[in-house]
Amino acid sequence: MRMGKKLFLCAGMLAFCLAVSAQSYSLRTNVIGLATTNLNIEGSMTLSRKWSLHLPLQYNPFKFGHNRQFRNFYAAPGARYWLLESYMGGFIGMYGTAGTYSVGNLFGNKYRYEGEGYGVGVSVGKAYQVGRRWNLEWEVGAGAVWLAYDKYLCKRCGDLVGRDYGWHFFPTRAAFNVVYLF
Amino acid sequence: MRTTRRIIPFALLSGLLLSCATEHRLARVRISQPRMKEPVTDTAYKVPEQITWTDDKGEQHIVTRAEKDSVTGEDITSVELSEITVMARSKQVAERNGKINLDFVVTVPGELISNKWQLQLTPVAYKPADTLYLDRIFLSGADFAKMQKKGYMRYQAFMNSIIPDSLYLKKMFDEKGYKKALAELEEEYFQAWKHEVLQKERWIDWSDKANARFALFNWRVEQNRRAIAGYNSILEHLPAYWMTRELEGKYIPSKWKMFAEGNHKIRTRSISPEDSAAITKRFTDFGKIAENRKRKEQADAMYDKYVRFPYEAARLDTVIREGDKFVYYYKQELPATENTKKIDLTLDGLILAKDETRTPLPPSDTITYFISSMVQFLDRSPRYKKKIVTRKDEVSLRAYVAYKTGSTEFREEIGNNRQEIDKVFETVRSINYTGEFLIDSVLMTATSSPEGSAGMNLFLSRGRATELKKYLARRTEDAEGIDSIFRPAWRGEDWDRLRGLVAGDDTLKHRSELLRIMDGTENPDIREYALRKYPEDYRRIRERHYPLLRGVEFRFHLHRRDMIQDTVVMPVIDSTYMDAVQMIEDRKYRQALALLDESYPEDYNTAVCLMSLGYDARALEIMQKQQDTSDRNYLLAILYSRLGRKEDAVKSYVRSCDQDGTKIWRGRLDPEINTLIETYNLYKDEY
Repeated sequence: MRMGKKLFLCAGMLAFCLAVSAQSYSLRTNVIGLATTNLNIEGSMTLSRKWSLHLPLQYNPFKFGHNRQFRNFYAAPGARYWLLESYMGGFIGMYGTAGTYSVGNLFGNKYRYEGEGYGVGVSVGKAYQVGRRWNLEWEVGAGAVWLAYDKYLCKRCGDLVGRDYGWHFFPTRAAFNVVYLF
Repeated sequence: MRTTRRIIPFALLSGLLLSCATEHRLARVRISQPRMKEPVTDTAYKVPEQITWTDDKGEQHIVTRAEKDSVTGEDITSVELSEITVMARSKQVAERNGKINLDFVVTVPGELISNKWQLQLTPVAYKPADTLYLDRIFLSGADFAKMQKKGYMRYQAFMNSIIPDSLYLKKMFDEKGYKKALAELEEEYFQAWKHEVLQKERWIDWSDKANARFALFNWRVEQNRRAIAGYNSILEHLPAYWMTRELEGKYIPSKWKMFAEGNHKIRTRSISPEDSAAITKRFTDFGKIAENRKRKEQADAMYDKYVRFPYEAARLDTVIREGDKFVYYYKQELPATENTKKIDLTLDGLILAKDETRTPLPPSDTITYFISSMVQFLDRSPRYKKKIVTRKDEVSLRAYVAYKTGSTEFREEIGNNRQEIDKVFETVRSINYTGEFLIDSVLMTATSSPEGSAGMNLFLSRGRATELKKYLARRTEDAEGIDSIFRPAWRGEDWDRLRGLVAGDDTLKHRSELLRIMDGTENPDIREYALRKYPEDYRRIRERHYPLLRGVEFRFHLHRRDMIQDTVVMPVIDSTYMDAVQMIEDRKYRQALALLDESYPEDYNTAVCLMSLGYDARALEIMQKQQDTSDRNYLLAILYSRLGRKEDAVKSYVRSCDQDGTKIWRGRLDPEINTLIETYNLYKDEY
């Protein structure tokens, strides 16, 4: 499947990068995301001692009872400016985002929304060195997202109720990352 | 010298006391003489009852001791009658040891003593030259004294409100606050230190971790580069192939930068004197200090305000009950100064009332003290000393005459020649002017300095002496006189004089060696040459002393006109002695004694001086050796009386009176003789 191919690509890249590491690359995963069933991984490469490029990917394929779901898949390529040194200390991030989703029966909402979204955002965060290769990191961000979705009643895969699109502003990132440098 | 007696009504004099309408009769303060009574110091001593002696004319004298009058005492100078006081207005006092004792009784009537005022009495002694204000007497009424005291208490209360310097720390300074602030600052400094220490620890932890990471990845970069070395790979553009990291510059967190620089020292700050001073200032009450200073400045003004009646120095300052009569026996010793023959004494009075009005009292009685002194017995006749006068006399004069080198001719225009020879003529003129002396002869000796050969110098000085005589003859009309009186002589090099000059010059470094050369060398030319061994000294001798050797010494031989014997003894007034006598007159006894004791130990006046100073035994010893005159016997009587030899005293006194009748009267004036007169009732018909 498409997803499987991507995962494979990532793994390949990881293997490659491991071979040529010099605190120039990192892999991280957002623990909060994992706890909320969003599988995620983020690869990154430093450009200089102050700048780095980032590409987080997230995939949530799970459906629960009563058609409760927060399925999504998106990528959010971005860049970070590090206040001190890449992968050390505070940073300011900016990113774009693009993805598809199907979200329903959450927080008492009886509709399911299915569609796609595109947006931009900014974030701040800070990395803490815990070992030679390991960092812990937090990051929060917010931005503007253009969402287009179909609105369904939630009972089973119910009827289409409405269709809508438009700009929304809300927090787009809340992360607690475990980072590996190589 | 009888005491003058006068009768003064007691309550007649009056004056206005206060400005109020009621007239107040002011009584008088009286001064009077105390009853004269010789104090008996030695009760065991008894005067001889009867004294008998035979005088020069073979007449026998007997005197017996008089009975005392038991009612009136020995002498009455003040008798009080009802409302009338009879007063002795004058008194004889004797000067002893250069001192005079004035004594008198101050009597204040009860009317003058009131609760409302203070009576101030000032005895004033008028001497011929100056006026002496004796110690005062203050008689305060009860209310007045209370007020005087109250003023002082109020002033004291004000002074007590001033915080003394010693208590400044306690009163002007919040010590508790100061200590607290000090502790706080100390804690602040400690915390700052602690914070820095912790920061440094954190920096060390952080930099250790960072460095470990950098070391790992820098090594990685190195590996990567090595892997592509030699290949033209695009990989080399990736940061993993070129980016090495060091902990430096902007990559160090600014909060830790100071530690990274390496030379940062963590300061352990402690309280400095400046901190302490600043805190002290914060906790010092400057307002209170200013207030206190103001009070201090006001102290004088407050004294003037509160103490209206300050206590003053006085012989007596006492509180006295209203209406009481006050009697005080006042005694004052005064130094006798030159020509003090009489002292007038009055009493100035002042009433100082509580309302600060001052009312002077009417003038008081005057007591006149006549002073009898040993000085009156001084022998003032001039004293001579002997002076021996010789017939012959000598005057010498040195003329520094200059000559051209090697020449004997006298020329006026060289150097000071003309003035030097004028000195000679001046001397001749001054000798002739008085007419006392006649010039027998003038010996003119030419001398020279040791430069050149001695023979040559002798020859030159000989020529110069004769040349000078010719010149002198030319200058006066009396050429013949010059020829007979002036006798030229020559000595050549004047070594004797040079030796004297060198011996007296202590700037010469080798003086003793030079003198040895002069004494030890026979030949004058070798001697002169030997002196050059000390060039520095020789130059000085040559410049300073040689010119003094070149000249002519004139020795005038004189004799006194009209004098045939060789010596005559002449009396001359002894000025030292007369100075000493003058000093005794001026009451400078000690200075006089210093002069007299040394040169005239056996003199009559020395005895007078000694007895004026109270050295009676020595005075007696000298006095006994003096001529038998009335004055001497009188003084002997005083001395015997002082030394307790009453018998001898009476004999001497009677003898003195025989020689000079006025001594009978004089005897009353000197206490020593007066005692004799009283005790033995001498000359009772004469008074």
